[in-house]
Amino acid sequence: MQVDISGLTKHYETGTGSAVPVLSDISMSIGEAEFVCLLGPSGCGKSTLLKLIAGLEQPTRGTISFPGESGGGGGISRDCGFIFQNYALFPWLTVKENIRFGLQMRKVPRKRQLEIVEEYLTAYGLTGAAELYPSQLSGGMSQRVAIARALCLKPKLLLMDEPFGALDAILRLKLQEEVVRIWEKEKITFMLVTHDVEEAIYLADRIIVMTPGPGRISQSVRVEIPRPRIRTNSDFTELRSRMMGLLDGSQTAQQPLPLDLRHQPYVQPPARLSI
Amino acid sequence: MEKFINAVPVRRHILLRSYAVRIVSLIVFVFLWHEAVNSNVLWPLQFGNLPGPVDVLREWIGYLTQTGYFKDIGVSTFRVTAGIALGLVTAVPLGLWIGLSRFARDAWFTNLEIFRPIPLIAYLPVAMLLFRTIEGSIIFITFIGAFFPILINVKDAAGRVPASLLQAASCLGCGPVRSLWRIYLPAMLPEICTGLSVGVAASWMGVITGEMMSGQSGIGYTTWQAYHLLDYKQSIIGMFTIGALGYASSALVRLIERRMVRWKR
Ligand SMILES: Nc1ncnc2c1ncn2[C@@H]1O[C@H](COP(=O)(O)OP(=O)(O)OP(=O)(O)O)[C@@H](O)[C@H]1O
Ligand SMILES: [Mg+2]
Repeated sequence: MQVDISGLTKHYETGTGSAVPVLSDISMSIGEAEFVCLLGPSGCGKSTLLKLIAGLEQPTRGTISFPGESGGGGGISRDCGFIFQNYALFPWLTVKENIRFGLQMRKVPRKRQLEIVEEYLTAYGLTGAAELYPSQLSGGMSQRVAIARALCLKPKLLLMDEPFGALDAILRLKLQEEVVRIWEKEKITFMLVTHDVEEAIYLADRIIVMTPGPGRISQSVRVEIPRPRIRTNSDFTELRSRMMGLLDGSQTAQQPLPLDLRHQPYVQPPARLSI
Repeated sequence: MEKFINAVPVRRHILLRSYAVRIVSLIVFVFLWHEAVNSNVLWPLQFGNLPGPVDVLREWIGYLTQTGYFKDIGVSTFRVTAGIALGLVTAVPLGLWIGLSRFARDAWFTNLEIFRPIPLIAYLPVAMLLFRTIEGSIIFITFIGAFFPILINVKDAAGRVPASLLQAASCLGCGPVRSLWRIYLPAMLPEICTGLSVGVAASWMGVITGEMMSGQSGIGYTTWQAYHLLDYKQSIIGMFTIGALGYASSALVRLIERRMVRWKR
């Protein structure tokens, strides 16, 4: 699915009636089956941008359109899946029921629902966990459930908001690999938010760098490294140092605080992180 | 390793002792009651006026073969159940509405806050005037008892349902109306159960006061009536029966809660 964003601006109303600008004049265009990473410091409006694309928020100004889609103008698109920062699994439903939720909403015939759920449980290695509740899952499993829940509806666009934020480093690497595999298999458009330069380089066809106050696009970097990408290869490390320089430069221009992303591991509130 | 093996008998030992203490304390209580009555203690309290435990127990065993006793229990239980059912079907939707809409909060909540602190017994005169039958007015009291605790809990819970769950549901195709059933209700279930357990206790309190003041049947009526007929044994049996019913119903609510909120570990 293609996404065209033009002149997108978002203000949030505060309690006192004044409007806080969160995104200012964002324009970009995302191609069919492209993997785009949104990279930027906390508070620059990355989550807001994804929510706007998903139709969960309404833009103050500007448009989001999906060329080539029937009824391609904004609103909640039935064709887009969303993976939330903390997965947002329904705690009262088992893994199986969580995956089935969207199929029920779409009034898929009951028998077909169960078949699809089985298929995705198997594909994501969740067969043994089918009857568990989200509170009983490890971080990696929760993530796979969230992905299965979104992908079993066959979306044409998958939006992922810091899907690896709450995970430990080793699991992160493993799941990054998995996400690339899923993307290659599904051949759909992925948009993923991250704080981590290396993660963005490993995953993306294109990295869109955002700066805060209010959120804007400062850079758009195409990653031409062939897949599978090796983090220690020279093309990878070269791009990484170039990106770091870029980020430092862009940050000193607009941000008084030294925001060297290398030394700023993202700290997630201690969510359900049971292993 | 050795420690680990020892752990089991130690725990069983503690458990046994705990049960022993409970039984002994019960026996001590009954014994003190018996002694206080038997030696006709009149100061500081007039224990001499009470029947002794052995007499009460003998009478109680007699009751267990009479239908009247169980009819009383049945009548009171029915009134409580009806009040709670009415409380649930009104307080859950209303609490949800108040929790979600500022307009509803403004429109309803001030009025409700005026009624909430009124003790159940003070509703009785109005209840008697409003309802044609005494049955109706007593059920009204049990309803009020159940209504407010459920309402308050649901109202708070509605505002605390995580936005991310609602957004996730929306992305999966769940519209705002369906999300009431599929998201709000299950998400609020723990709080509904909390409200329910407080409400059940209040509802029992309500039924007993109602029956004592105005009833012609029920365990509360019988307990009070027995006092007037100088049948003190029956009064005490009624008292303990009310205690047992309250205990049983809160155990039942806990059981339901554990069944329904299994997902909360
Ligand atoms: N519902 C809302 N009402 C008011 N302000 C909001 C709301 N949601 C977000 N904001 C503000 O918008 C700004 C951007 O938020 P957003 O969550 O999009 O940032 P982000 O880039 O995703 O940050 P992070 O990396 O920490 O997740 C923040 O300053 C936040 O305070
Ligand atoms: Mg965010």
